[in-house]
Amino acid sequence: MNLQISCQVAGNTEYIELFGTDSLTMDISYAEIQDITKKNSSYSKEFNVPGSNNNNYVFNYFFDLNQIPLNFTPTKKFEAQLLYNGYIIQSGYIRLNSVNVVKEQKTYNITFYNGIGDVVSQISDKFLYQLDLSSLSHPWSFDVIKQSTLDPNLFPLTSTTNYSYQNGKTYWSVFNIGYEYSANSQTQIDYTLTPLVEFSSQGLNFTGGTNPNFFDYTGATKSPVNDFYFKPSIQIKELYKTIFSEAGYQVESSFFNTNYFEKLYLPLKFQDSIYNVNGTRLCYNFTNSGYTVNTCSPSTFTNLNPGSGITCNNFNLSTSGRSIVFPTNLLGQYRVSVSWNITVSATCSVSSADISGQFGAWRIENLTGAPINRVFTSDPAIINITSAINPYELYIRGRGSFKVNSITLTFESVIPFLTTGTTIDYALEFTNTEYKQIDFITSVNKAFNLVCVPHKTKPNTIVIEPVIDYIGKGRVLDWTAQIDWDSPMNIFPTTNILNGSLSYNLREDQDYTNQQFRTKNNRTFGTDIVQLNQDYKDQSIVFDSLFSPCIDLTVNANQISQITQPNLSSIGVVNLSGLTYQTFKPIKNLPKMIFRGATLPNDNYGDTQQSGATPLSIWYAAQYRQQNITSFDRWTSNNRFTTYPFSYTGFSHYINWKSSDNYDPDEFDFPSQQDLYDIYYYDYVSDIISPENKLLQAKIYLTPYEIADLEFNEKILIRNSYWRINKISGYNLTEPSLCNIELIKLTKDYTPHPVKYFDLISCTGGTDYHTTSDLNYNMYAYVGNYVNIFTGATTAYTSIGCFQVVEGTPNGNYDYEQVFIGSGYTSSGVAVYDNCNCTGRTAFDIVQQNY
Amino acid sequence: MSIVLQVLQQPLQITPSNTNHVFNVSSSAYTLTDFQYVVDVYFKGNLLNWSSATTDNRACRLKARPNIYGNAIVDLEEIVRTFLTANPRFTGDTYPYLNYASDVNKIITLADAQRTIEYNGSNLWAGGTPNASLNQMWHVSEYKAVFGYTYTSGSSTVEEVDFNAAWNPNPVVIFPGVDNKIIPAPFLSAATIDAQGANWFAQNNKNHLYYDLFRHVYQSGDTNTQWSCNNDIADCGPREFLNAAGTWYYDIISQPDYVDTRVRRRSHHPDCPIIVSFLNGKNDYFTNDIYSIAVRGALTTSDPYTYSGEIANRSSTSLPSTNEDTNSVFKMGVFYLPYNNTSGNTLNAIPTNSKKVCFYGTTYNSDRNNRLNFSSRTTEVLEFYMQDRSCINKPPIHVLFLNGRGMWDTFTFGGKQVRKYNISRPSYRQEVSLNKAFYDIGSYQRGTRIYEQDLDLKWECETWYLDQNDTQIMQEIFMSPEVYIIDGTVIQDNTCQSCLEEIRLYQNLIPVVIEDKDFIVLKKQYQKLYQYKMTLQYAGFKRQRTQG
Repeated sequence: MNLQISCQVAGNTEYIELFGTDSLTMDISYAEIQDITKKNSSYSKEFNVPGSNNNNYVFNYFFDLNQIPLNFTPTKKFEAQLLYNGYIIQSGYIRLNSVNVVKEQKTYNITFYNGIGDVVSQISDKFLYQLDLSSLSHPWSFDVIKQSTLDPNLFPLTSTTNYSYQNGKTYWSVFNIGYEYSANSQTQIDYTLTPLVEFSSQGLNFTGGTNPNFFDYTGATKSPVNDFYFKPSIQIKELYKTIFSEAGYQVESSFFNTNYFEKLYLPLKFQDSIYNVNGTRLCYNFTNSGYTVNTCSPSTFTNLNPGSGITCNNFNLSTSGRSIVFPTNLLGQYRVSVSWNITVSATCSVSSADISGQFGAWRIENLTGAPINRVFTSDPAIINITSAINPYELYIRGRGSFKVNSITLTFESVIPFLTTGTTIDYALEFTNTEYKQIDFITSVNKAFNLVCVPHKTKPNTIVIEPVIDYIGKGRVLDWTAQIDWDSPMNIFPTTNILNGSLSYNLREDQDYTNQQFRTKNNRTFGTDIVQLNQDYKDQSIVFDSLFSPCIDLTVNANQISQITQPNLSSIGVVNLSGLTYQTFKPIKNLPKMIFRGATLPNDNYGDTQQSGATPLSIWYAAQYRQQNITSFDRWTSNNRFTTYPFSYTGFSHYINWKSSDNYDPDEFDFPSQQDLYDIYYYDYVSDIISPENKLLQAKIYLTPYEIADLEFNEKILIRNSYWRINKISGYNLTEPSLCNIELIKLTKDYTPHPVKYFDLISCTGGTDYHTTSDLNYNMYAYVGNYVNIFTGATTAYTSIGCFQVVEGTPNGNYDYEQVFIGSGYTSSGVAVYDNCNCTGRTAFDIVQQNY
Repeated sequence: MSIVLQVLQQPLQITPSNTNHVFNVSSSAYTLTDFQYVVDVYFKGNLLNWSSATTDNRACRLKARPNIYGNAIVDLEEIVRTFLTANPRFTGDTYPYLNYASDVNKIITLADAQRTIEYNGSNLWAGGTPNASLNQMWHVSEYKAVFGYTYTSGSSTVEEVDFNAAWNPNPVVIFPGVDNKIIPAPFLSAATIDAQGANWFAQNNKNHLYYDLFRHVYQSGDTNTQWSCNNDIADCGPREFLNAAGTWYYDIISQPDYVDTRVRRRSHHPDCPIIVSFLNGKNDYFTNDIYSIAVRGALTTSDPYTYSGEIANRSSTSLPSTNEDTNSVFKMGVFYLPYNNTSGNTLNAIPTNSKKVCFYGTTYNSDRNNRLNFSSRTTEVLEFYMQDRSCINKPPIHVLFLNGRGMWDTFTFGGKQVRKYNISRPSYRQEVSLNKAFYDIGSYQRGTRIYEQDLDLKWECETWYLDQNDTQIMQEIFMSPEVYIIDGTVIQDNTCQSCLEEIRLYQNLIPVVIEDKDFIVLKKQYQKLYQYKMTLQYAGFKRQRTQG
């Protein structure tokens, strides 16, 4: 039996016959699992197979010049497995390259490529906007913003629904994206549309801002952050898995399932506007005709009928006689345009009074009928429909004798409204023909030094883990007795693998923080070049990325800079009358990774000097524009530092390549804490460049079964030292044989990604609970205080009491589990307590090691 | 619009798979925009009832643009020739010793001679139904070409392929016969099958092909009228069996008072099973009257045939009036001289020490003696002259091969033979693992370890001295893609109550391929003796190993 290729054609399993006389060899190397774009070297294999009766049938007689595809379509791949004596040694796909016909003898040339190769070929030419993100869609409501301030780790407690903004797959948050400026002044921020996302001042004697231009203004009208200013983000994990899923693969990853990795998001800010792509501009258009006006009295009204001749009414506005009724939540600025066709028969004298009124007053200047003046000074004109003039009346008033043959009015809202119930389509946020899926995948892989290994038993499943969590963490295989000690061996110093320098790059965005950092430092924020300090250098390895660095700005006037927001806006310049003004404008941002941190209570960042129990430094958000104003007493940190404003040595880190880069001097700076290189590359690189390390090339006897069983995380024992597999080449698929192996010594055990352990001590002497940062990432914020824990099955979560949170150490006797703490449970209070009764509320104890 | 197709030419109802399968289809609608003919080729080995066909049985689809005459001429040969698989298994009775054999183990070298057996798919239940749990190999089957069309109408594409359309030709019976291109020019002096033409192969709606099969199996001008043909054909009929044998026709058969000009003779090893294959019953063109296969034997080659037996073929006494089912279009009789068990469970009706045995078809006669009389024959006489065992090396190498007519045949290499083994032993030097509690060199350190053994096994064979006529058999073996060495168990006569001497149960077929690339046909003026050498290479894939 030996090697067979089984494949699935149109739902049927067929077996492709092989010549059986040639030895078919394949290679597999660590490089391919580390960089999936190298799929062509090892993850595919060309075969020639005979034009046997069976193969002709499988390939649908492709050789016949008149043949057209039935079951087998030559332009499509089809699933296949390499079977050795019936045992699947590789799963993947087959494509037909060609059929060679010599006289009547046919030979098919096919390529087998495994899952990794298939994924890459599937996604290499696709863009992010092509993803079907409908599974993330949900109806819009203001709850989307409210619940985005909660910890999604707790979402089963928060709702019976499972929308993406609840379970953490999406996230709506405030970023500094720039402002709308007044159309008239051009330099004055239109605070009704975009108030400053800052606290107005810091003081001892107020519970909110006093300046209506700030988002904490508590005066009579308030100045909330309007809903359109909140920007959606997609969980990196979800986007990554969706890409694989659409390519027909599942991701299996312990790392991806950590609560830590689930906190990485991609903000969807790819339009140069402050408004959401999912919003819709209201339009109300109608045309009336056949009015006759014959009066010189300016007080005579001729009503229009907006309920007649409607050509657009996408928000289903109602009308009443001459009026359009605007729902309260749709009040605001509208762009109105009028066009008409009239026949003038006489004229009257005019006065300025003729043009008073709410709309449409006009006058006739002369018998020629032109120009016609309206109440609008421009066309289109911006009008502000407020509750005072709603319903909005429409009529014609003027003097003269004429006939209005037709009049058309169009209303379009300045703001695209996100109305309750609107389905959010996240795919709309992406721009076309930018940001390839493969670039996203490889950028995430590089950031966390991930390896992608086809699952050895589950079809269409790829195992993805960081090198530091995976390599050398698998089985120990003693291959001492399988090495051919008679064959020549080559042993190299590992300088051949890695030397020179490693350049970790990010793309530079056009936001003003990135630009100013460039001006100051002549390099991109968050990038670094790691010198390996070796004597023999001949290379520089470049790690490019799709992502640009996120630079954070402190929110003005918050208590000791505990809350920040990523800056996504650029500086614009306006020249007026010879004077230059600086403005903050929205731009089309490059993709960035942000870390969704803990939700801080305003007990921490607010005015802590204020006496009394009233929460301080409340800020406001509004649905539509200035409607349904809601106060918020918390802030979800979106900082590039994973525990901002906390700092734990050996746990906290920056999600760029240089921890010492800082822009805002008010921001807490932790330059000696780790960055991505320190955590995900340092051990790996230092192992390879260690003077103790060696690269061993030898011949080894391996069966197809043994190779099929490899997961590439094995520790290979050769005599007295451990090695990892770097490459296996020339292994025979048709029978057990000697093949070439390349091993790299494992001089150390890699430190896995940082994990913190927490114990929750029952205040009533009951059962204690234990969790880790992989299960409850934000638990570090509660250490030293008390929380309510909820438990139960599915939706029936009930409180089981008050527990003190203490930092723990790994204990093999503990069952570590995800716990549901009440601190993020209610939207009205963060609820961390300083006592074992869990009463009152208190601030987090900010821990800042290495500060 | 109603579009009608017409199939102008098509293969004959029974056509070798390895020959042109040309269909010529036309339609007056061929001028429509983007008009193309669609040809769906259906194959289902066990599909005797084509009305139950589904698209699962569709092997492929072709599209052909009309030529300047509005026709499309398509040749399905390269597709059709992939449908069949030479099947050495059979459904029927084995020698008495092996009556317990399951279908998957029944190979034709085990069949007894009581009745003829069918060329059909293996692993069939009684009645011809395939055993769903086992694979079938279809030696003889049918395919069907279904014609439709496609064209563009406005912005849409119209495609119409109706399996039941009236213009679709009937299914074609195929068997693994040879490509006729290598067959010499036909003898067609007076062949005619209907009134439309002097040469029946040229009649309308036929594809004008000439088949080697029909050249020899039907011969006009014979005086015997025991067989019947369709329409107005009075003098066509079956002639040759579908065996490989020389083309030398012997004028005289050694039988008193009987002279026949249609005798083919070949030499044979007495221990080798004889397979006699033939086209059976009625088809579109004629009715083949073989009520039984007469088996005659004689103790010396110069003696007249005095012993007789028969292999029953047909149960009805009258001529078949309907076309044979596909499964029984081709049949064979298998005869094993050392233990011949012919019709009526008659053991050794032919002496096991016979020096010659001949076969011919009979027409029905209630009197067995009359039926088996040479004068009642309906076919050629196929004579087998037995070689003297003492002149043949032991053990001889018997081979089963697919002959040029797509039928099974046997022959024996009885001369010198050499069996050659070539083995490769890939190895590596193994060192002991140090991952032990105690170092024990004696227990673990093997040194050079053989991890595989690949064996290349060849038989270099010689024939006995053949006369020129038998070179035809060697030529067909040389050209056969399906060759097996017949092997089996020797049963000594002292363990077999009814055996006259040691017999063999040929339950093993060892697949081999002919390694030789050249073959020389030797011809001289007079009948000469030749000795051929041939190398048979073991085609199995099992490695010879005890560990690895």
